[in-house]
Amino acid sequence: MNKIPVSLNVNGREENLEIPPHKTLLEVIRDDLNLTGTKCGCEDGTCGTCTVLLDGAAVRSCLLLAAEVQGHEIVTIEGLADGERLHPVQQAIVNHGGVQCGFCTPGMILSAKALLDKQPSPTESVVRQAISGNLCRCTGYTKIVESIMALSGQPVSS
Amino acid sequence: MQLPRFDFLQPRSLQEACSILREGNGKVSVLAGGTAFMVALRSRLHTPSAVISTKALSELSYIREASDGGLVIGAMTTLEALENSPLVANGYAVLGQAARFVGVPPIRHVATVGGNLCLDTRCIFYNQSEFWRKARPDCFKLGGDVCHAIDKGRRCLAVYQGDLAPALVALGARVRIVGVSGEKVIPLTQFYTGNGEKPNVLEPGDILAEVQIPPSSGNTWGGYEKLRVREGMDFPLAGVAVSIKTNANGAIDQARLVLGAVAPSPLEVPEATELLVGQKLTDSLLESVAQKAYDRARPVANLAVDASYRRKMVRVLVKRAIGRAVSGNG
Ligand SMILES: Cc1cc2nc3c(=O)[nH]c(=O)nc-3n(C[C@H](O)[C@H](O)[C@H](O)COP(=O)(O)OP(=O)(O)OC[C@H]3O[C@@H](n4cnc5c(N)ncnc54)[C@H](O)[C@@H]3O)c2cc1C
Ligand code: FES
Ligand code: FES
Repeated sequence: MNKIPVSLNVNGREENLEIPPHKTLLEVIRDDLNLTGTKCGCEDGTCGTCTVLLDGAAVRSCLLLAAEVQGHEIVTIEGLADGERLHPVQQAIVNHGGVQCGFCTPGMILSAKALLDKQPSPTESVVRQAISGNLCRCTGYTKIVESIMALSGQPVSS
Repeated sequence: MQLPRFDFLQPRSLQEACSILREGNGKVSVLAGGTAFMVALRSRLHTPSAVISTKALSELSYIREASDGGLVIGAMTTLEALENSPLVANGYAVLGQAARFVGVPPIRHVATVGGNLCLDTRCIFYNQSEFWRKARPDCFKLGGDVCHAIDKGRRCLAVYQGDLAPALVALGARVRIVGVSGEKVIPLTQFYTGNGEKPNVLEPGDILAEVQIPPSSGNTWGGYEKLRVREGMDFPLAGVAVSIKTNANGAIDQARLVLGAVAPSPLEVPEATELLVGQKLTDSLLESVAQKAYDRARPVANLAVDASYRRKMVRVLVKRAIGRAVSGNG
């Protein structure tokens, strides 16, 4: 099969790969880099479990070709914790019971991080907008919103 | 499921992109934001020999005031840029609203204006996996000669579900199309064919390069509303865009009402213009305008929601969109 050289910057590391051009960023992250924290749910852009940060913004890795994102910075859920110390968004999700099965969690955390990096004290409606592309089948979203709102410092409506 | 195999090309300029497309003669496809096309590739609705990624063509990413005082928007401008643009908010509110209604933030971060306008038409019998589709004879859009949506249907009525086009038609926009042999500017209304099988006039080698919107005056109001399965994210099942200009007495000088997602192309309601111009808005006038839109809309049973419900909702959405426009809540 024809392969092309692709260099990716993932979690601060330069990865030099030889991959077929039709491989998605999601496939490369999971299958070539073994970073399986990024989940594969629907592969059609609906669920948000494949969310990664592209130059700081939340995007769907199932809708990007790996070859398209050369020269950009990619952060996956594995890139957040500092050794044993969880990232504040991860810690907040743990503290406030924002995880149940955990399948949506990596994407949810990255969407929240993208928002908080740009806007440290968002209101609840801004938070709900920011995670509106991340489907959760377990929590009913309440605990997730509460986790993020604990970091924003703004009041929660309910 | 993996994508079908293809080569990956990244042209450095618009001209280079056009000549690759022309040489490819239909076998090479444009991948802009990819938020629609990647899904179509995965379900094998398209199996190009190569895709050209236009993400790096920064020459096509801009929102600028035009020399005539209007607005020009490059095809690779993201929907996120559109929804946050003060130039758009100021006088072209209907466009910013429509952009905000597309998908969800991570999609709008990469989705482009050009990709939205060039969105293929959609149908519940077409936007399915290859496995699912194989269970029935090919429909018109798949190259066959039946329609599964309409009993004895004789042509493809797959739906154009882009949110931006109705808003841009309401604003009187034109598009600049660049091909190998030159370029042309046509009204957006002429960009769409009304044929579900081939929804727009682009030929192999053509790229939609720019959207041009005529100048708007201070008292132009816009409103966009859509029906969708989930409030949070979904293609429109019916959409309504309205642009209204009032004069110093509060009477309507100009008005354009355009429906989306009820036909293979955006559908203008000229009767609404006739009813509105010269008048001040009243409840009974609003009711008549909504009725005219209802009369024009003839959705068929090819999306996730019942066609008669979509049609009835057109009436409701017209009132909401005009209400939103005149309240200045754009
Ligand atoms: C979960 C989800 C929800 C969505 N919701 C909506 C919605 O609510 N409303 C809506 O309108 N859309 C929606 N979409 C579809 C899509 O995200 C948008 O329409 C988007 O604007 C498409 O732009 P793109 O740049 O990603 O296009 P692409 O996917 O790159 O391209 C779409 C088509 O246009 C062609 N094309 C792209 N740019 C050009 C150009 N400059 N010249 C010629 N041809 C070109 C491509 O070849 C392709 O056929 C949704 C998608 C997903 C996955
Ligand atoms: S796997 Fe990417 S959005 Fe579902
Ligand atoms: S915790 Fe199970 S999907 Fe969100």
